[in-house]
Amino acid sequence: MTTLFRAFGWLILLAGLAPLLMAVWVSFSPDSFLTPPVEAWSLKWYRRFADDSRWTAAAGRSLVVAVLSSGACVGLALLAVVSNRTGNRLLLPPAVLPPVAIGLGLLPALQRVGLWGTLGSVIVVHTAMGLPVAYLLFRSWAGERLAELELAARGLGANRWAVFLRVTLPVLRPAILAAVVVQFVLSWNEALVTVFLTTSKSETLPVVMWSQLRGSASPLVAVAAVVSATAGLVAVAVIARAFRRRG
Amino acid sequence: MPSTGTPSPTAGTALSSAVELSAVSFGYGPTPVLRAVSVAVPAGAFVTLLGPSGCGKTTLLKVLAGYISPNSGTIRLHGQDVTATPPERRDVGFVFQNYALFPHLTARGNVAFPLEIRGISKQETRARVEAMLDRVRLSPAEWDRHPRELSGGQQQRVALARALVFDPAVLLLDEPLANLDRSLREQLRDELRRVQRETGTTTVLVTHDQDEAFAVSDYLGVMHAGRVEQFGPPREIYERPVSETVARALGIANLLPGEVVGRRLGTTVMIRPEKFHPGGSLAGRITAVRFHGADVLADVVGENFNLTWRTRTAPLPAVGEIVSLGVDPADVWELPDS
Amino acid sequence: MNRLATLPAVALAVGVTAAPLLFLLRVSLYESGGPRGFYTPDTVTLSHYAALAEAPILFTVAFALAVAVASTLFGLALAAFVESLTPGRQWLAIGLLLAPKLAGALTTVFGLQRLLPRGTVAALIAEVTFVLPYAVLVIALRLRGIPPDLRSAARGLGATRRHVFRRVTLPLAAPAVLLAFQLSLAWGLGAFVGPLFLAGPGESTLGTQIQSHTAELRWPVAAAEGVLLLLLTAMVFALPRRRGHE
Repeated sequence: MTTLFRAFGWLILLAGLAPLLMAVWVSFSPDSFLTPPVEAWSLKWYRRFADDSRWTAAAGRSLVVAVLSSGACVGLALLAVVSNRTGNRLLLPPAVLPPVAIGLGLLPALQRVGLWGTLGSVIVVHTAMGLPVAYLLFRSWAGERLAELELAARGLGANRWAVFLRVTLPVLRPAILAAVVVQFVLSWNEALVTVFLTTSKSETLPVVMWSQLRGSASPLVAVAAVVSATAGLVAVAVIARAFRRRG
Repeated sequence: MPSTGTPSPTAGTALSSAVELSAVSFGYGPTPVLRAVSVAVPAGAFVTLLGPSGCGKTTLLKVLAGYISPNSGTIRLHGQDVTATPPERRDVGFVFQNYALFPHLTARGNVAFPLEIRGISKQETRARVEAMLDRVRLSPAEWDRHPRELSGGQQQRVALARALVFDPAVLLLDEPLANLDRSLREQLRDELRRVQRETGTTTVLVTHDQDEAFAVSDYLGVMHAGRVEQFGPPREIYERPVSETVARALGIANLLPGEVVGRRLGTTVMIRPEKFHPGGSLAGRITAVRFHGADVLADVVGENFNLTWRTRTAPLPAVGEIVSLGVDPADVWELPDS
Repeated sequence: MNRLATLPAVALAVGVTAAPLLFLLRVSLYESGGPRGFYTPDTVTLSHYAALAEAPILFTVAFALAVAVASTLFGLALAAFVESLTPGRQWLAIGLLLAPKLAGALTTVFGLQRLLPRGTVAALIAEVTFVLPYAVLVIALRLRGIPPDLRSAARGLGATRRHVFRRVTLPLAAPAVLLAFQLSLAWGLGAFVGPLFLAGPGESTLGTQIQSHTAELRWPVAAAEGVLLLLLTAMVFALPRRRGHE
């Protein structure tokens, strides 16, 4: 592993940050052009964002959807892991099928049952899309060891519920926390399928960003990007705290 | 209940049996793993099931514990039929080969687990946990550590304590010493026996290590291909095995054609290597000598036999030497059905 | 916990996958309903599938292959790089790898719009940015599973670092590399954020076509393209997977 290779590696990883850093930079632009500020920096666009009910409502919805779908997703994946050891291949398709096709097909499907455009439908779809990741996280974390620990607990007199609460959950705890964070971030930022599912009354933050990027964009999009990144970082920090608390 | 010594050798009397397996069979589809196994273990005894990997001994243990349901046969614990009882209600303590200690609990927490499940008060739990950790000689400094901070030997002690703290009727151990190095193994083996004597718990241990089997057991069950070939006190099985398989399972067997020592044609005899002495009619050349510390093993090749001789008296054998070995007729065991 | 507990999760996953599939099939076979609905009933036709001949299938596949090749190669290099780091640095590297995901694809798109001129290259870079972290993780996980003793043994037998990589590491990592390729290819086929926001005016993929047809309310055409996309994706995973050596 030569030094050149190493330098190159770090370079590529840092390069991935460039677009995000660009967005942060532009968000402080003092005027309406999307040029990054050099001389004059301003918080004007942050104030505009906070005053704009379209944006703030969308951000609020993103928060609700992210929190609820991560809870639901992790809960369902946990049940699946615990009850069916032989592997649940059926949980994997939502991750590999093209989101465009999923979104496009869900439109008429949801219309048919009269649920199209509701925030609830967004939560349900996000939950479904997050199941493969949560499930894989649990599977790779648990492995054979958990099965043996559960057997040991049963031999010591614990019934199925006691095994779940006293052994399975504590052992899976790091994976559960990681899954919650992952699903939160993925759900908050989910745009590809969500654009097909929402109307102006149910749009989430990425959907508003989308329409702005398609039309004429202002630094508000950059602000939205910063808000999204911050939400993600806060989620990571909260979970990291919970992780350390009784690690 | 504490025992006052080794139990009676009538290991088969249903009345005194703490553990009784009757015609237990188990297989995966067409592959049989256990073939109509019947064993009776007296109360308070320490029994070892010895056999190579794949002979079904771990499966038998799991059937006893309730983790595996047999295809046929019954299991009785202290007279009660528990064949259909799930593991959590069977009152059996099980020590896994990898210990299966809960990583998120301390040593104390692990040992307290079965008591907490049974709803025992915090004070009583604490007292019993500490008494048991004391009994397995885990130093108090380690009691509040997590398993990953403990050595292999310490983990084993915790696993043992956890399995015994709730006074089970039977203690089952699945190759508990397999993951430890030699000196530790011997030390823990003796500890295991001591604890077992102190608590008087009927114990079944499974191993492939014959030294282990000899050192601690009141009774030995030699298993092969899903059957218990012989069951009895270790000395008896060592000196009077019922088959070649059992003979070989317990050490160097020296299976010779009967005529070599003056028996009928067609019989096979077994002479343990330490039974030979110089000065006899079995003449052969020493082809190899292996030093084993306390004694020496010499391969002797004769006209119509090969054998291995174990000796520790001077003069020690040397490669190339011609020796004539003799053996006391009482030490020549004729294998049945040979 | 009996087997039934797995049912809600499976039902949801299957539902969210099957429902769109069925509806796409249905809508694609009828004439468009325009503003009145997705399709006009009782007008079964295969014309939309015929129209697929005009669809940018070649470009989509070529683009997807480019994404897959780039992601796999860089993924392998980065995975090897990450695995060679000390644990502390490893966490930092993984954090950097996943950072773009924190703010989402649209942020990356926005940033790239400021940094690069429009074109296929920009779209390609965007899609690779989305896909690369997963490729790296899949391969790195597998690399981690290779016992270090194997490498030491090879070195002891006279192999240089390069030999070890080519003859020991790569063959053992091959299943993961193949999986990373398949995943990248599948996601590349469905690419539409990158091409939509960053590609040149004439360049479109199946994904962007679906989006524009939807905006024009030409549902059946979009649906037919969706079905085709699903078929192509299914083909990617129908490729035989070599079982890894342990």
